[in-house]
Amino acid sequence: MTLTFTNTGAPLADLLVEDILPEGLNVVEGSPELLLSLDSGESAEITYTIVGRRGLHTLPGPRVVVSDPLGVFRHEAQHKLPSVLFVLPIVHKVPTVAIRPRRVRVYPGQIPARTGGSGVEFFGVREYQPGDPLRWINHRAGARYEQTLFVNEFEQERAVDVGLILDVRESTNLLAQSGSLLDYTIDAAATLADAFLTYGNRVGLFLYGGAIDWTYPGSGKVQRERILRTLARARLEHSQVFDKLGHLPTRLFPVRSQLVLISPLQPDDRDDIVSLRARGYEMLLVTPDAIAFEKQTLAMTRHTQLAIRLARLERGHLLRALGRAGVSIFEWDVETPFHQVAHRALGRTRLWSQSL
Amino acid sequence: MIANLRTLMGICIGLATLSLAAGCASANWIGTLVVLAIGLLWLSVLRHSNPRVADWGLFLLMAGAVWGGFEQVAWGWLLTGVAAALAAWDLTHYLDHLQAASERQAEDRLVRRHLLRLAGVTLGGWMLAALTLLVNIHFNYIGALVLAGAGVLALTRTLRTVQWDAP
Repeated sequence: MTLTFTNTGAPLADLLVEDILPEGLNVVEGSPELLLSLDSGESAEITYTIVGRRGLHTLPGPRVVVSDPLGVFRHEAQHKLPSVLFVLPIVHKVPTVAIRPRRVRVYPGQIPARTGGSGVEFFGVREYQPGDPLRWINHRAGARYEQTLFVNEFEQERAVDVGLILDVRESTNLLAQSGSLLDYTIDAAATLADAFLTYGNRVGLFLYGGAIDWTYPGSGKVQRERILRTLARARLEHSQVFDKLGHLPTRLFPVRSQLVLISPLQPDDRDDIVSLRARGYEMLLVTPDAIAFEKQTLAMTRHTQLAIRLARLERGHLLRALGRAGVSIFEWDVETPFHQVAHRALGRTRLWSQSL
Repeated sequence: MIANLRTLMGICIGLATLSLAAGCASANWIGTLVVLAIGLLWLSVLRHSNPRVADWGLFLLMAGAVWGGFEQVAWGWLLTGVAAALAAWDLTHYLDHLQAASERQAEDRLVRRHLLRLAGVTLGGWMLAALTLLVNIHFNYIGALVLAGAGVLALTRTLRTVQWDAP
């Protein structure tokens, strides 16, 4: 942070300038406070480095204390220069995320489109048509039929629409001394959004839990910034309307597109997720292991161990049911950073079996 | 620069104590001892540069000077002692102000300006006080009233000017 100020008035023999920092921001280098004497027309600057918690921080503006030439009176003023500072979640690179929605866009991308054309992966064989490249000709297939030529087709790769749904419901996100599960799911959402946007997909983000907070789908770096800003200000919300996943406004997401639900899950969510799948959405469920997270905060007694076992059975049952409904599931223990686990696991197609 | 300021503070406290003690020595040796004790106490806690200690030190030395006035001690000693005690008090508060700021720019210039200002105020005050003690003017009751009114007016105007000049 650099704060520059100029004295446009009379010389100031004793001037104290302090840049007020809101809670959540800590100075790691330099100082936000400076005592100096400043002549007319002279400028000075305060430079310091801060670290802060993820979120939206409003800096109220600098506080200035000056004394008169004789040092008898002191005047203090708080200059109203509010500025907003976003501390964005850290984005880690994940090479590829295996998704395969039925609906693809017309733009080229990385997702197999289930349509023949130019591409990399072999898709099928069809009769030669004038204009086809000669190197596509399948001579082995052509040798079987007289006067007929066949060409290889490759699977087209296109960009897709991805709807990220981040669960910010207070009821699903457990709180512990080290933070809430939301902090981990936000990191996961940021990493996934970056991975999808890197390959030209169109990504939208919906924060589910409070008011309707929808980042309209888009692609590119600007959209990445928009999503990260939305994630920066995401916090736990409580709303009776959005207490169940059933009130998810599905009209925001194109039919048969890819939905990625990032949620710790609660047992009641099963039917709503299955219902989304039934409507034709390809579902990828990214879920932190809530039981392992809560386990750290509990004293290990015989009863606790039994409770953990029961909770594991219930959660396993829930995830199996979702897997059977065709939902791809990726569950990770928040002890390990998301990107490290996702790096090797999200590139595969059938995810749910490995998590169980 | 802060170390220099601390040395200067010590010099001012020493000067105030010695000056008052020297003045009191001619009148009452117990008073001298008391003043010396106060000065030594103030000096002993100098390295902490606590403004509250300075407040008490100034108050006690001022009380000593008032007592010296009643004991007909020579005004030169008293005036010098009070001026030096005031300077020490100001320096203590200034040092506290400096140390409260986590970062200072051009500290030398900042301190030099303050010292110049302090020197001006102290010397000016000393000379003004000496002048009032040396010069005898005889005037009647009305004259005294007019002079007092003019003094109050001048002081008010000065304070207002100082306040308005400050941004």
